[in-house]
Amino acid sequence: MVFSSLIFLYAFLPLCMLFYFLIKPLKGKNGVLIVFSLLFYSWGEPVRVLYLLLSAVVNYFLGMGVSPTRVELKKDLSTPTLRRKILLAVSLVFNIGMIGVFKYSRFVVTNINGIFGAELPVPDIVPMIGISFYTFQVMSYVIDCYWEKVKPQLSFYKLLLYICLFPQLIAGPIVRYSTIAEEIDNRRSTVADISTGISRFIMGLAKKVILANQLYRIVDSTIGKNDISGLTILGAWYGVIVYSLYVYFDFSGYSDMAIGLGRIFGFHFNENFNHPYLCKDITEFWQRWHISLGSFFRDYLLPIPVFGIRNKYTSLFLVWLCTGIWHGANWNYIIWGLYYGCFIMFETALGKKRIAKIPMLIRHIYTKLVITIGFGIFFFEDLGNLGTFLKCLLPTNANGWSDMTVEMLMANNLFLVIAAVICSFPLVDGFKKLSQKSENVKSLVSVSGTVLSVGLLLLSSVLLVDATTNVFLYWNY
Amino acid sequence: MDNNKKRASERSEQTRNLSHNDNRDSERARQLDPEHIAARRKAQSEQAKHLADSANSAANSEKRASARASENVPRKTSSPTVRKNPDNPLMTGRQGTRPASEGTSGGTHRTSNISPRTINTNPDASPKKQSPDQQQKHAMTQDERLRLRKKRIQEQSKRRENAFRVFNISAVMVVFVFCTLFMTFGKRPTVSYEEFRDLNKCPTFTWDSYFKGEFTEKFAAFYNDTVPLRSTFKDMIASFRAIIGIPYKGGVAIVGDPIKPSDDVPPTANVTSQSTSFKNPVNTSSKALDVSGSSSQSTSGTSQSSSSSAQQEVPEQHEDGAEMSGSVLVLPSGRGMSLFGAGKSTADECASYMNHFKELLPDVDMYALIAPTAVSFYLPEEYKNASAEEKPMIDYLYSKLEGITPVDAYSVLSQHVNEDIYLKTDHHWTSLGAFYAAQEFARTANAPVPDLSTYEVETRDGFLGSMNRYSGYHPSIKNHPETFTLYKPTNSYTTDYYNSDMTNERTDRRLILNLQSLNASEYYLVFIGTDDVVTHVKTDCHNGRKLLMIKDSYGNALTANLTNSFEEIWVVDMRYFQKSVSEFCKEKEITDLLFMWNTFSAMGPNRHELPEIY
Repeated sequence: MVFSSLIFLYAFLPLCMLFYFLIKPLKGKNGVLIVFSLLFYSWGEPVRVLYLLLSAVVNYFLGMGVSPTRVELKKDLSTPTLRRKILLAVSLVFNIGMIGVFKYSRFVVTNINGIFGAELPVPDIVPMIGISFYTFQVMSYVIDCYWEKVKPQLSFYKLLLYICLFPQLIAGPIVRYSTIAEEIDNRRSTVADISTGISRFIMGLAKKVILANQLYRIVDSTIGKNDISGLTILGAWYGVIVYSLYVYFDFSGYSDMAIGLGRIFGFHFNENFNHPYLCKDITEFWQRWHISLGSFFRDYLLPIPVFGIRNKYTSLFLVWLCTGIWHGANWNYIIWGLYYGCFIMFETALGKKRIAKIPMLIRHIYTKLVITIGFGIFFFEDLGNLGTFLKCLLPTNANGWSDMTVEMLMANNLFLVIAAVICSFPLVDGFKKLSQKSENVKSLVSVSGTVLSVGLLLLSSVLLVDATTNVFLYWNY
Repeated sequence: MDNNKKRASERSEQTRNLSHNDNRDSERARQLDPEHIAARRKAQSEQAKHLADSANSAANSEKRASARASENVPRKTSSPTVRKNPDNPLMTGRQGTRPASEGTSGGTHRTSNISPRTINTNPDASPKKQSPDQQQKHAMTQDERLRLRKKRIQEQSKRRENAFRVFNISAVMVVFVFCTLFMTFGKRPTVSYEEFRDLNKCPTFTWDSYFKGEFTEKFAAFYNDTVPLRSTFKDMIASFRAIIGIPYKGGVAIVGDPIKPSDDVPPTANVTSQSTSFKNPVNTSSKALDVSGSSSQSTSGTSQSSSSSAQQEVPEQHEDGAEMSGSVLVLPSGRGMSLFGAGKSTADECASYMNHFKELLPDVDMYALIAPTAVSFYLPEEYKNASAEEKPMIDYLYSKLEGITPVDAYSVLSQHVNEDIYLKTDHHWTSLGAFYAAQEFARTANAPVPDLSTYEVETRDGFLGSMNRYSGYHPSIKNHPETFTLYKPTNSYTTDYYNSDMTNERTDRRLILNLQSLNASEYYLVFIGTDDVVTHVKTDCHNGRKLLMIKDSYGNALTANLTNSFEEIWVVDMRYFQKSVSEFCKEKEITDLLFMWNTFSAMGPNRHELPEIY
């Protein structure tokens, strides 16, 4: 099930909220969340719940296993015992193995067959939705236990709640255990939480349904065509720019919905997007884009030495290779990750001071260009099409500068694209700042916020009736 | 003026009281928001200025002076200290802690897993620092009084803020609950006339289907497909799409994936998402069938069975309507047309299939009528490059035929462009267009040629055909329903129908249904009704010629016009027919065979149906 569907909005969510707020004890509330989360995850493919449960059970024991025992704590050992090391290795093998089997086995086998001419049977495994997200969450939990950053969760149900909590289950953000550990045991949905949560959820819904879904229609008619050999220069650029906007609104909209839902239930997740298109260099872009993933790799992957070398650049290479692989089992994602890796290494080599000297305008043009072309790479899973597309971007494109269909698309979606560009600026912060000015302005902002929420909810619901435009980006994640 | 000052001073006091804020939740809520912290820091420094200013202004306020003369004096003297002391520690204290907090929740990644709650201690810490300061400077009693007042105002504003939150929650909840009730208890439609199809049905629950994931999937499809007031919402979506941009060059629009005319891309490559099938045609045409004097029950029973078999064997893209779609060009005048794009290879293929029929049945006279569509005649000159030309492709296909006589419908139709030969809101030709084509065919086949003057004419307003849905209910079409003119031959003939597997003969449907009883989107069904039947017409023309027409829906309108020309007419649709044509021709002693398709069928995926019925 996805958040941006009528059945979630008007069947699943009301039931879930009804039970959640009717039941008073926190134990009961947690139970409601677990039941509804499993229902949510099982929607469409009930079997996959078993894998989720398997992952939860195994990591529950591993989490306790990699933590120091009381005796070990008393001894205050400077290095972890062998048992803990082995169990950590087991957990890494298990979790990475899970992702590997479900997400990458097909890709790996196909490529081995292709490169070595082997004829291994291609496994027919459908990638499980959300597996990358929840497996990363559970990995962060076990590693944190090993590093003694968190105490292991002794209650299986509470750990299960952390893993399967439906707001962040299938499209992130990757929530660290430490972020919500306390709230699992002790939380309260205050009026402020519910109010903010609702507004946040609707904002995310509107981003997804009103902006992203409609933007995708443009993408579909430009770079998303079956045959892109006829793309004009304008068509290719327009398509990929709109696609970049689309990905942002789709993904951040989903994160907003997740954060908002979490908030309604009293959880405070960390932010996942911070207006990435305002960035002034690529390093900054990744500090603003999918923050929970970037921080995961930086915290858990960066300390790992590559080939025994702990070098800034080898580590960066590893991080960006993994970032690419994480986004999908396909070469274009790997290229995409390494592409960003190159720019980050370049910026690291250049140094912050020298970058700061470059005029702002040039920095913005540079970043937006890199990001846009990056999303072009991200979009085309077929490398042949990717090549065709990249050629279309160049002025040497034989199809000319523009054609009627692109001009028509641009005209017919003019306000939509302008609205999308405006919405990628921090508007909400602007209004918050404005409301600091006086009580009256604050009241005005509050009331108009409510009116806006209601309006956006209604408009989003109406637009959701047309299910054909409701694309979901994360089946592969 | 006074009011303003008062408000300003109130505000300032309230600001100072932020430091006394004991409401953890609201404070935390704000602090959790990383972007907010920076905003707040700035706002606070602004407020600090306010504070100083308003302290002065409060001192000068006459109103206050009269009301609390005793208070005023110490206040005035303390105003410089107010500026310095209570604020500065507050400011430096906050500024000192805030950059750290900023780093924690928003800035760098390394630290982002530290709980944001650690910031919480800050607001509690600063008042402790501050209060001894204040105690030094102020008289105890006055300080107490001021505090009380501040507390009251602060509570007031907090109450106000909370009221807005409650308002926000309740407003959204009212809408939310209303929508939930509407979605749960609203009357769900079962058919969509605009879309020409039955909507998804609610699946029955079995554990088996649940564990396979089928139940949930189908249920979700049903839930989303049958939203109460669905067609109203679809209209709203269309209106929304019309206002998110500006019209291009006076309102011409291309809807759907624009087809680049190229050699190997079939014109309907992208139909699957848009194509919809009216899998249970009886539901919609039952009214018409009733009127035509039949027991609707028998019809629905048989027709259902035939359509369900069609469902199994005929892939989705071959259902009616999928002949076209792809991308549609909409003119502001309210005409929609499918853009054509096919290459020679598809024409080659189609011709070879047809030639094979001739090889199988050398004694049958065969004719091919490949009908152009509206795009050939009504595409404005400036958009010529948006679509491939149909004429050269028809000619090319004709040139590849061996032993099959081509019917030059194109030339005939092009002489009548100024008449209504194509429907504006539908992908079919009109009754009149079909008549001209039939005339040309009869002439080519040396059969008696019908005369239009003997025809009966019937009209009905309000037609909104397939172009409405292909164009996504584009306003140019939706707002221009057209008049449907039906030309009916007046000679006598009898019609009977079979299922597509030649079972279940019945005589309950007329060849031309009752136009007045059809829904606004399905006037074209007046000819024969649906495509999934075999039609058999016996006419009063006794020339011994028996025609088999292998057709797509363009042929439906043609049939009645041929009742003057052939003694018997068999009409089969290549997408549904389940028998072998060669055997059928021998069995029924067919003398003439007509391939009657539009260009999209001949050069689209439908051509692949032909080898299935050799």
